[in-house]
Amino acid sequence: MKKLRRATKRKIIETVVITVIVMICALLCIFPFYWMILNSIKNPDLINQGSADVFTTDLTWDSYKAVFAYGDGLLWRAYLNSFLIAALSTAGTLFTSSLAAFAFAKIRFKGSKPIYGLFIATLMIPGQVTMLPLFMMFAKIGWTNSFLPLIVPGVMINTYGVFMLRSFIVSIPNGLLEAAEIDGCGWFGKYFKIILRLIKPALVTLGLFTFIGSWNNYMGHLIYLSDERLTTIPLLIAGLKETHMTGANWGRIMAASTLSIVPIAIVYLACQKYFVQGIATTGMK
Amino acid sequence: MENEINDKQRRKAEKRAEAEEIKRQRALVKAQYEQMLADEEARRKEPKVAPEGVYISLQGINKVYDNYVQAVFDFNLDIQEHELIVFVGPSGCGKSTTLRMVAGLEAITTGDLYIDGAYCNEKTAKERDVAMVFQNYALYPHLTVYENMAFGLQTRKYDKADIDVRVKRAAEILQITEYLDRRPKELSGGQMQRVALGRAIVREAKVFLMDEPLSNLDAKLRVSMRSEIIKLHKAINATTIYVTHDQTEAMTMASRIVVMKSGYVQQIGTPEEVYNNPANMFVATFIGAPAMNLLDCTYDGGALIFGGGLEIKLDKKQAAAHDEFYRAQIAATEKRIADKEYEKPDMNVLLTHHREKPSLKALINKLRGKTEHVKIKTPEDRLAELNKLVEDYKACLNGAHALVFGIRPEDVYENADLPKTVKPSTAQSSEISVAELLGSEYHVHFNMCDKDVIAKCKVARRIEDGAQFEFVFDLNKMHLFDKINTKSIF
Repeated sequence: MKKLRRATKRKIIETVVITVIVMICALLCIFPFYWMILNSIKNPDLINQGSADVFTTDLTWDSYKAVFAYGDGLLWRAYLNSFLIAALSTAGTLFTSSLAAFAFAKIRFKGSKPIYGLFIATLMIPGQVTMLPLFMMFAKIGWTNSFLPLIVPGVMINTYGVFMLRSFIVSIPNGLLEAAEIDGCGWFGKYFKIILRLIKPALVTLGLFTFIGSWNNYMGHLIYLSDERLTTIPLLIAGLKETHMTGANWGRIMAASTLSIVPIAIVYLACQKYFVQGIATTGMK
Repeated sequence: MENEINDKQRRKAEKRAEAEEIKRQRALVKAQYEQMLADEEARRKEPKVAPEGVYISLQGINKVYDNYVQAVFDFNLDIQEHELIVFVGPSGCGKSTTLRMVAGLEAITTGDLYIDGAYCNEKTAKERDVAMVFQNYALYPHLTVYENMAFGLQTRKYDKADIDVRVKRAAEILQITEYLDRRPKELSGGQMQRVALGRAIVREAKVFLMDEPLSNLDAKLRVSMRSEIIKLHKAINATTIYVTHDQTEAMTMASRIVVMKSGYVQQIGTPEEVYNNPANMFVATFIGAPAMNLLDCTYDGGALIFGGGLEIKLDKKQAAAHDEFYRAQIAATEKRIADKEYEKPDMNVLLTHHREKPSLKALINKLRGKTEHVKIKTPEDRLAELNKLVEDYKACLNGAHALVFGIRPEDVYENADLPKTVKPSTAQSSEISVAELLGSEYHVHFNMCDKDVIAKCKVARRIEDGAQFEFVFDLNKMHLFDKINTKSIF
């Protein structure tokens, strides 16, 4: 009886300790967001005083009003541009990556393994290395100051996407594809009617990564987009720091940052249920 | 010391010679494969005429993979409309590969395939209009039962109302109407298999192909599904090819059975033919449960002499069949020599070598000193073997030699009550090692000529382990097999 009581006590202590550790970790993760949102609605004068008041009550929407008014409603254009780039990149990447992954995973053709190895090897090359040659190339074909260099390369080659989707597709039993072949599907039929449906969780995950990556791609946008009409959210946030906005106004920057994560948060929450799903192959034994 | 050095040198020389022989044979295999493909390419351009009065025809079908592994050797079969043909054999015998070639899931290396009068080698699976049931069901997990069954029809752009009628009719036949809205994950194994069958039925295809459809079901369900498939075949009367490794399924379902082993067809025949007249020892032991009893004996002057003293005198017809068999073997072997067959590469040995190529298992075995060495035969070795074979057959024809006597368990009788139709051998007695009661009958195991022999006996009285068992063989039902090539003499 004593032993049992001691074991129960130990279990309770363990649970409490683990819960406290997890809560601390969660707070550490949440705090930057809390700080950003708090500063976006805090009286801008209080931010520059340097006091780290975590629970202030002096709240105002002034920073948001200033952001919306900035550049005659430039925020809405930035939203639209960022969304356009991110959405087209995501849709294009998902299509080409899944198609390539399907080919690498399920179609037997000569040299598929070496080609795939070579393809994966490009993951080792940092983006910074190819940045300048790509810029020179796009400048030569007159694509600078347009969205094309921000969309096309990602759509043409997304090594990580192919790698990720291929590992999902490989686990789909060949029997399903053979059954589809007997049922009258060609390669594209198998791809659209079977593969794409079964890798939905992986597609959603990759889509989200691609969308977020494109939405936050400050460096790319900065290099290729110079026209104000083409401005995007990362460029707008950076622009808010410029002198014509009367110096680094942290309240406005935080307000713009908060606004920038709203679409991503919505997309993330909408797709969350797919992240935990595996591939459904329950029709097989 | 000197002997040791000589031994080492000899072994080295042998290994070198063998490596060269492997290289030579590999080159031969490669050249033979490429020639095979080139010949086939040329042959396929010739006009193709389907054989008359045959629904499916497989003519000289061979399957060789790119790594030169041959899975199917010279498969010939004509199937009539409405027949249910069963391919049966152990794992790796090529039965599923053959079925997949008919389905269009696997390319045919050489040979011709005709379905309903049309040359089908170059047709896709879709164009061949076949329906297939897979061993692992292969139901689409993202679709409901209804959608799974309708999928093939939708792909072929059938009218919606027609699809609905067909799916519902098939669901009724298979008693799965109540599951139409469920997804495969909500079904049991038996229900999934019904859906897989339903998916095939709705298509009303020319040919039904079934690849071990019952092997994932438990024993009881398998028996009930087996009879359902038989009923279904009778009801829809579709030409069906059914693959199984279960001889009971083959015997109970087939119009004709094709027994296969190591890529070769061993025998084609009705269940009765295959059971009563097995072509060789493999078929004799593979078909029938319990398997046929095989006993070593000596043939001398028209009589079979067993180790325990039993002697069976063959009648004139049987003795003549024995002589005829060996004359035919001699002629066939001499033809192989004349055709210089010994110069062709030894595919089977070469493939064993192929599989022995570097692997972790091979390395571990080598480190433990357990390397199994497969000797590659040179053309000289193989010629010598063929010559010896001719000599051996001649010796069999002219003098006493070893044979294998086969008798099915139901043809071994307890001497006490013999039916009138039985032609008994001299009664023998042995101690019962195990008597298995199966409810309706006993399987009595006893020892004869150092082999376990099984007799099927009626449950007329209690049979105890260790008791003496007096038995006879029904000589009308006996089989004789050659010991050299395992073929049936009669």
